[in-house]
Amino acid sequence: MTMLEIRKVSVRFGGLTAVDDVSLAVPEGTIMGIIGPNGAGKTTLFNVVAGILRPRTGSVLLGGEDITRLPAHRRARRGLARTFQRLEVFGTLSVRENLLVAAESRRRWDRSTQPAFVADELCAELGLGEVAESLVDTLPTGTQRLVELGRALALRPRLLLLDEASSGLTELETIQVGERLQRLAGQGLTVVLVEHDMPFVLSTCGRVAMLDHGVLVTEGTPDEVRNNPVVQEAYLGRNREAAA
Amino acid sequence: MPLVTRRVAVPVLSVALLVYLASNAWAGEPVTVDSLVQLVAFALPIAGLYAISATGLVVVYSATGIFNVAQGAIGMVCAFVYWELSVNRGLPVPLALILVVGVFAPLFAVVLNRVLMQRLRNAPLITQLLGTVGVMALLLGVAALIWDPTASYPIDGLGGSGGIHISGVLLSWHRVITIVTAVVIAVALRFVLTSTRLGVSMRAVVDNEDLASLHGIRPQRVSDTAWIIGSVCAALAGILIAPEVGNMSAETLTFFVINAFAAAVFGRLKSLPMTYVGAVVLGLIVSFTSTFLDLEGRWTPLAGVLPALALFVVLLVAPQQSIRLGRPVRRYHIETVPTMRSVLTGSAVLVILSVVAGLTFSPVNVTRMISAVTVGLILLGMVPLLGWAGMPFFAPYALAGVGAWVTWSLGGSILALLAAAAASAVAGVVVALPALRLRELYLALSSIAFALIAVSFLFVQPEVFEIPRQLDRLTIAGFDLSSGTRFLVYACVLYAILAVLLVAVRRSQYGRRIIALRDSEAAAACIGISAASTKALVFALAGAVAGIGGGVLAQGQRFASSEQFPMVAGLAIILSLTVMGIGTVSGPVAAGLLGALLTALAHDWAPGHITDALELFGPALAVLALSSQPRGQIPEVAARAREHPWRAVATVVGLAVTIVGCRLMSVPGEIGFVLAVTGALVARMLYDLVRPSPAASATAGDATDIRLGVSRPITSAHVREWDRALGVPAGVGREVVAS
Amino acid sequence: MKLQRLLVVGAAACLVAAGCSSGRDDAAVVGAPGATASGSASAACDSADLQATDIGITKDTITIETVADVGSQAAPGIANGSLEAMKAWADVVNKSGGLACREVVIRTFDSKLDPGESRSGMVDSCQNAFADVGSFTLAVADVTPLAECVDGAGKPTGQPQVPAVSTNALIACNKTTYLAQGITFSCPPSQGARTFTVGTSLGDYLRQVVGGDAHGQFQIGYTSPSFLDVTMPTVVQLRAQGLAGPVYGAKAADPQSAYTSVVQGMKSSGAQFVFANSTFPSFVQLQREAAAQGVEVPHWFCQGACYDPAYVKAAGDLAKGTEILLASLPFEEADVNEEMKTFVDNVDTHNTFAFSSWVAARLFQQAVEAVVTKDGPNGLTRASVLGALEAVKDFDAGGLIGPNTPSAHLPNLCVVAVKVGADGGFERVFPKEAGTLSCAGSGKQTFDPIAEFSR
Repeated sequence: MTMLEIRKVSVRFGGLTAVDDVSLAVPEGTIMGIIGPNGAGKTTLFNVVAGILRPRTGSVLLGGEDITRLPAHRRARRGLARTFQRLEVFGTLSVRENLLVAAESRRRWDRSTQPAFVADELCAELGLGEVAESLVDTLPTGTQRLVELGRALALRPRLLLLDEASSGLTELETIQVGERLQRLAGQGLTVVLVEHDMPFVLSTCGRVAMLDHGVLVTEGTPDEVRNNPVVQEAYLGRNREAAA
Repeated sequence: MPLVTRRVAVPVLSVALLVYLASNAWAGEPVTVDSLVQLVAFALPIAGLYAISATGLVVVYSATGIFNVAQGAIGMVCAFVYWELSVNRGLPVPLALILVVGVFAPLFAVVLNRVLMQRLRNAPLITQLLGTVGVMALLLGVAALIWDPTASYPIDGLGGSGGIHISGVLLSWHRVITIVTAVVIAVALRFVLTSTRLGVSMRAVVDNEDLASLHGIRPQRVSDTAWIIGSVCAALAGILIAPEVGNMSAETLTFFVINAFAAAVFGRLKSLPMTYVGAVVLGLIVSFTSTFLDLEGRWTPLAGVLPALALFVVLLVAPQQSIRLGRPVRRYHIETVPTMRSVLTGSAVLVILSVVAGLTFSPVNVTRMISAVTVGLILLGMVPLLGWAGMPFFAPYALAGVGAWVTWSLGGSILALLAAAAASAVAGVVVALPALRLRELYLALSSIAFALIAVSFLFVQPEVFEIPRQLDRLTIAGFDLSSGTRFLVYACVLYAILAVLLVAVRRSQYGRRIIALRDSEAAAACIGISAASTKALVFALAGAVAGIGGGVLAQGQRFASSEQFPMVAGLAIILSLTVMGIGTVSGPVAAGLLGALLTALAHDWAPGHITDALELFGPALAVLALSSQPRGQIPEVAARAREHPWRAVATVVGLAVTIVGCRLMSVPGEIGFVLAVTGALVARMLYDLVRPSPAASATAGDATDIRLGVSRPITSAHVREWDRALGVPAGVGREVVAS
Repeated sequence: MKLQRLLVVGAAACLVAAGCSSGRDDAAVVGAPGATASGSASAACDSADLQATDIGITKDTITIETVADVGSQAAPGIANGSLEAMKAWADVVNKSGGLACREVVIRTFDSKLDPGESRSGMVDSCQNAFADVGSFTLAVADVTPLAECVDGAGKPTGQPQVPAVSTNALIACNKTTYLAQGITFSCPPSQGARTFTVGTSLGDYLRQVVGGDAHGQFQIGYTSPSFLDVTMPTVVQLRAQGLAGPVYGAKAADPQSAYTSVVQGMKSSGAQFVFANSTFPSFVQLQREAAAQGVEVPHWFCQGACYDPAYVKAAGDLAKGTEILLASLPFEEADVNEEMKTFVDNVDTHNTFAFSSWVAARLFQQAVEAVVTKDGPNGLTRASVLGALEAVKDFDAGGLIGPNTPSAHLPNLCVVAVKVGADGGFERVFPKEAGTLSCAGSGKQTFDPIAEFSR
């Protein structure tokens, strides 16, 4: 089943076309990576899927349902969670409270979840137990990223959008995140991530898409994309390393 | 409502309303070419005044990020200085003008900037706005001290008598000069801002101050220049408007600037040409109303609130200003969440103290305490709104007024109070509607406009407060609550109940949601929190509590009138609340008691010059307190008391001993007051000598100072801070990742 | 709010300046009231065994409280004159043997133009003083602390209040409040159409000056709809007497340009007079605008507020020839009226605040002396003074004001006109004889002030 379908989405800011007629389909349980140089329109596309931006044309379907007209907070109810490129945490709440807010929010449409239980479980799983009562503003960036991830997971989403989730994390932490994502994908979670960390993308993702100047350049398995000459040109040097 | 339809719908609706009003209130003046020419001729000087005021606002805002509510007050001071020189001392007008506009205004601006305004630069918006309100209050007080408000200050217009005849009406030289001045300022500023090095520097500093300073631009000089421009504009506006009002009154001149807000917002606080367009439109509307319309009966006050209404409309339609890149993000200060135990203890203490006060204080002071607790109740409603949700809403008295009216109309019983809470909750939700789209500064301005409209137009409608009726004594189940002590205890019990309720909300999931929305609206939306319904909830809560405060006010005074809810007083009490601690449930009652304490000191216990000066410079002290302890006094003091409890005890003991000693020795009140403060400080110093406290550590803010390592030395505290930010565990080497 | 206050002050000044009552044409009574009473009392005082008969009375002193707006931020010292007058009165009384054989002590309280403090003042007064006399509080709304005040015996008799001014119907109609110069409110306070009693001497005089029926322009100080209760009755009565014209509500914050259309209206209708009952700055604005537009009006009338050297200074040349309508003797006539001489000699500030408080004090003094005459110096209780105040008839403060019966709740019906002379001083023009007032008669008008204003 296709969990996420982006149909001919275009976004313009004044005279600039940020996303140009992009269509993409992500099957359920897949981890899709979106790569591309800076300014390619990756985050803009994310914002459209998440509901922060309205596309000029095109539509977005979640699990077959057209969510293009839905505001962001309603998409969360449909099972869409995301993290942000420029970290957006609830800085004056504690780590546990961050997770709790998301879990409590979910409780409004799913009475079966016990928010406190979900929050504590996630805290432990993400290794945030020690800092659970610390205010998020006082924590280092890497930990804040984990909190953001935890908050998204507390929603028990069907679709998870991660925007540069590895930025600010150590190598070990990045690997751990990758492993966790694969576990969750195995349990049915669909993940779409925007990334610059090529090893992470190539090792974690089941499918990869590349955007450049708002256009979808190519899409396929990691190997296919890696061997694509256009991609190679764009990522000259990195590709050779990853292949090694 | 998407922006496009809102941009169309709101102006269309406004024009439709204007047409409806015009057709009903037509004065019967024939619309001829003559009268239209007159309309324009008289709109232009008014527009000119708005334009000059608004220009000053916009320049200061775009260069420093501070929206200067005290702009009118600065103009007022300059106008009075001009009067002093040209009328009182008899200097020739051109000389007086040069001295005021060319010498006094710039100097005043630089001093004001360096002493007070600069401290507000990087403060959260609420602190900034209230800081400028404090400066406005200070200037009003100083002006009242120097120029007696009960005397009259006649002042002639510039250019003498006579003028230009336009279509049978005389356009005085003064008004011609006003128009010309406005045009000259427009042209001059445009040139300065786009073509001179200084002007371009100003725009660079706005975008990225640190970067600009590394390129040799001195931010200090830029901010001084911006304030000088702002002050000169204010001075010109003040001098030009002074002859137009019957008697130079500090209040009229100070609040004229609010009329210019609409023009400034029309220009989106950055475009001077659009500001001028806005000023002209506003001038035309005002001129039209006074020429062609005859507003009668209940509509009479409408003429006075037109600029506030215009502001409201413009705010709703204007695109929200974008977040500036590169500026330090204004964080909200980290507060500790109160525990149920602490709030229950505090409540019990409050009620017990109220009983003690009621039994021991003189009836007059009991009455003052009642006023203090009533103000506290009204402010308590502002805590979830300003403190937790971070929404700058500056119209507490408007909400309280609704509560007062409902309570009073329904007879003033406890049940009436509950009905009032419900009604003002609804009013809160209605008021929330513009707040759903507006953010930060625009929200603050819309709340000020709302406060003005409420008090000057809504509350003076005949159905509201104009019926002269006294409430019966307040009783509960037959028990009479109206006597001083009983009412005080009643008010404190209500406060305690509401404080506990609010803390319960704060600690619940609703509280978390409110904080989450404040910290990151985007992230909150993405976890399913609807900004609209959460904001509506907060406003409803704020409305209900403030409405109860208003109801208690009516019950206590056994009377309600529109004069109990003035806009400026509303700003002042929010300033006090912010100084005390805007996120705390003890801040409101502390703010109220501070006011009562000052009054009691000034009246009974320590009357004299020192307490008078304290009242006068109170607002300035408030600004300083805000900028140095932005969390508020209560959290700061409480934190320090927790860290060094015995130091706090020593201070209190010193205070108490000195007061008792002065009483026993019958030292006159004023001296006793000074001695008491000295005694407290001395006691604290003695404690420090005996047990020195640890050296103050570098605060987190220091570690991001750009001058570290360049002109300021790096200390180990900074290094610790950096380690923490980088995630380097103290004392442990970094993990090595196997490749 | 504070702008409203200042405007109310001016209007209150008008009120007070217009404070006479019932219809006698007589000239003033010459001689200070009470002089003989205390003279005969001093003999009785020596033999009396004085007691503390109520709150605020001891065997040596009688404490009077005066609450006044002196310390406000918006208008500091505005009511200083009231306190000064009260203290001067106390000195005068004490020098001639005291009041009811006791020394008068004035206790002051600063109400700061604040409703809370004004109320506190009343609470303080109830607790510590015998009576509340000469108070000048503009911001007060609630009078229950005085009305329900408990006396020395524990009964809620209320505290006698003789304030200098009242701007609120609830207070004016309060059963323990007596105003020496009358009130314009209709009691009990209500809304909508009601009946007002207004003096006709003002209209008679104006007709005399303008020559019969005339068309002109009215201006009142407009702060809020409730304020129309104070200002509209005069306008309606004048209209009823043949002086027609539109009415403009002037606000303190009105810029000069607001008067342009008013003056244009005057020009096109050929206004023969302007009658203003607003603060003098607003009046000056109107005069200036008319001069600027070249509109000549034969008669400028200003009620009360312009009787102030500051008006003359502010208006400059425009003030010359303006007629000012007062409701009490001008301060210049100390040489023809002994009571005025006493006032002028003992009180330095000559303004409406001082004058009103002085007159209030004299009313109170008369009531106390009536009680002493009947029951002796120990018969003085709040209840007995309240009874005496209720019984006062035709009080005229030694000729300073027209005779007024406070308990009748009637307005002042008298008028005196002065003109601003070439030297900037005030010269009496009506009635011709110095030391007299014209208190011809009264009319009843039934209307709704708000609706009338809108017409």
